[in-house]
Amino acid sequence: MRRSFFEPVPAPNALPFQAIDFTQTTIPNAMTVVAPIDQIPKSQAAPNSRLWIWQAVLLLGLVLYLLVPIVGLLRFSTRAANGITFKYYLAAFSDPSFYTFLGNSLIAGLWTIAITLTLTTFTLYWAYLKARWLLPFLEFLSLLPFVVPAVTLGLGLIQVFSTPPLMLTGTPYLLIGAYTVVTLPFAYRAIENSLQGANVKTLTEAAENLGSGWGRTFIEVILPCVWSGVISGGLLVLSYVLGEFTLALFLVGSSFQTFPLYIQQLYSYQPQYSTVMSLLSFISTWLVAWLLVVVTRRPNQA
Amino acid sequence: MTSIQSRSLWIRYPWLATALGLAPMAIGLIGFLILPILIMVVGSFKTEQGWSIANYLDTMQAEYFKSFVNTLVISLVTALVGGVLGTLTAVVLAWGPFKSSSLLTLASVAANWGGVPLAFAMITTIGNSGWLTEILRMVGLDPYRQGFTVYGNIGLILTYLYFQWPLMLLLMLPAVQRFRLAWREAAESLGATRSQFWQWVGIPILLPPMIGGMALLFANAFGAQATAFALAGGALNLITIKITFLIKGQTDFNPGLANALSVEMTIVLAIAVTIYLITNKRTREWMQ
Repeated sequence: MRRSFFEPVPAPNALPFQAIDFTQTTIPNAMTVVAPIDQIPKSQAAPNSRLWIWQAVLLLGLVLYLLVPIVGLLRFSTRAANGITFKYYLAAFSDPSFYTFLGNSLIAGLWTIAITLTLTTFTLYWAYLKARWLLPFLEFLSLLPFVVPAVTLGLGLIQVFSTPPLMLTGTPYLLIGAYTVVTLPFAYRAIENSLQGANVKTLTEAAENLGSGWGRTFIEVILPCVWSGVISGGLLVLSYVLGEFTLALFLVGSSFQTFPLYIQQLYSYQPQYSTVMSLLSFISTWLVAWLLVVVTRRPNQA
Repeated sequence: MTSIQSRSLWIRYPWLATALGLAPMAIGLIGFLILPILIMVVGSFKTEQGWSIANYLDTMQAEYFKSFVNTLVISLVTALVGGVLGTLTAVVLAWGPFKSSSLLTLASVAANWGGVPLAFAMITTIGNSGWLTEILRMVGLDPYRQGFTVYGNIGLILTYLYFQWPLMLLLMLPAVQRFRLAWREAAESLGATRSQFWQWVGIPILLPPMIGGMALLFANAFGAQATAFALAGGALNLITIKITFLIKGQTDFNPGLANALSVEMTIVLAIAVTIYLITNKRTREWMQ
């Protein structure tokens, strides 16, 4: 739902306090826009006591709105006849099917990361080098999840891949293919930002003059430039795949159960386990957000 | 020998190298994006008797028409409420005395989380035996006595606001941060009143990103399925839920109708994203 992807390297003309560069088409992935506190400008308004209270109420309201449902999960998963119990946590994590389904999601996630990031990095590099006219089109892809939501894509894919030449419905291959297309915008944003900083054409020409083939140039010269973009793109893709429900429901269903499908099914017969898993999902999203901040704070190697 | 030949081939036909390098991405996009959409559009005009617009006529049946209107209303409400709350929060964070980067991290987590876990979080909070419901009951304000239910439209709106509000905050923050209150001093020193400043400077600058953000929020809610499906199964009357049951259900399996509904949905979403693109162009002009 998406989503302005994150910008590790501010554009050269960027104002010091900007979190994301609004001069470019902003693609609304929220994960990105975690501005470090020192980048938020100092208060510009004169202090006003009445206003101050309303401002505090509004911010407190947001914090409560976002945290109260989490308390609901915590309470439900620890509720016992007399006080608090953690037995559901132990039971949920010792259920072997949990590891199967989480494993399925991780497999899908890692394959998606590998394919999406390789494809995006290489295509962007190639477009920078040989076909700059293509960049606006690639940029437009970033808005794709809003025009073609998971329901639409799943509906189309299930019809393409359930007739004989390509019987992929129900297999993880189809799911990974779908995830690759859906996560392109995440990878595009992250990697495009790192490529902007590097002078791709000059670097490639220099490498070629020194006798390097294009494959070696790509791996030894270009990849190190975009490494931070690749890592943050990978984190965004992983976070997406671990939470994706609709495509998994449409394309694989019961034949390749993913983690979100497991959470949903558990709810009907073991609701406590299901809330434990929901908490796990919240914590893992939090972890990804935190890692993104860590990765982007590190100065770019390029 | 072969390498010299192949190199000369690249030099003679430079477009060949360009095309070969772009081919993997193109094949992937054609197979997993363009072809599915084409099949969906073609399939929407097909019935067992051959080509017809019968599927589109079927989408006008009361059941599907109602779900279309219902989805539209819910998306508009969450876009408006989330948009106003998110903009106000962005303004407070950018100009007010409170600075908090951990609040921004919390907002980005909430805007990205969603789906099945969020639905269960809401059920355990404001469901029939949710903890907030029970507290309200003890105080004597039982929301379920007033006809409220988390599995209905109001419950869904409250659930969607969980990610819409923080998403709007994150979308508006850059625009609000670029906005300098020093401009007001400049306008005032040129003799403008406060309302004149907002009329001629403030609102024209902040309105385009706000409308664009709300258009994205609208699209975000309109195409969402997972949260609603986990919240109430088939009970909610939403277009995405209808499509789910038309393609995955046993009793009302009807892919042609699902395709037609999906095409109509895509048209609405395309309009919303076009609004975003137009406002974004204006925003860029102002913000440069």
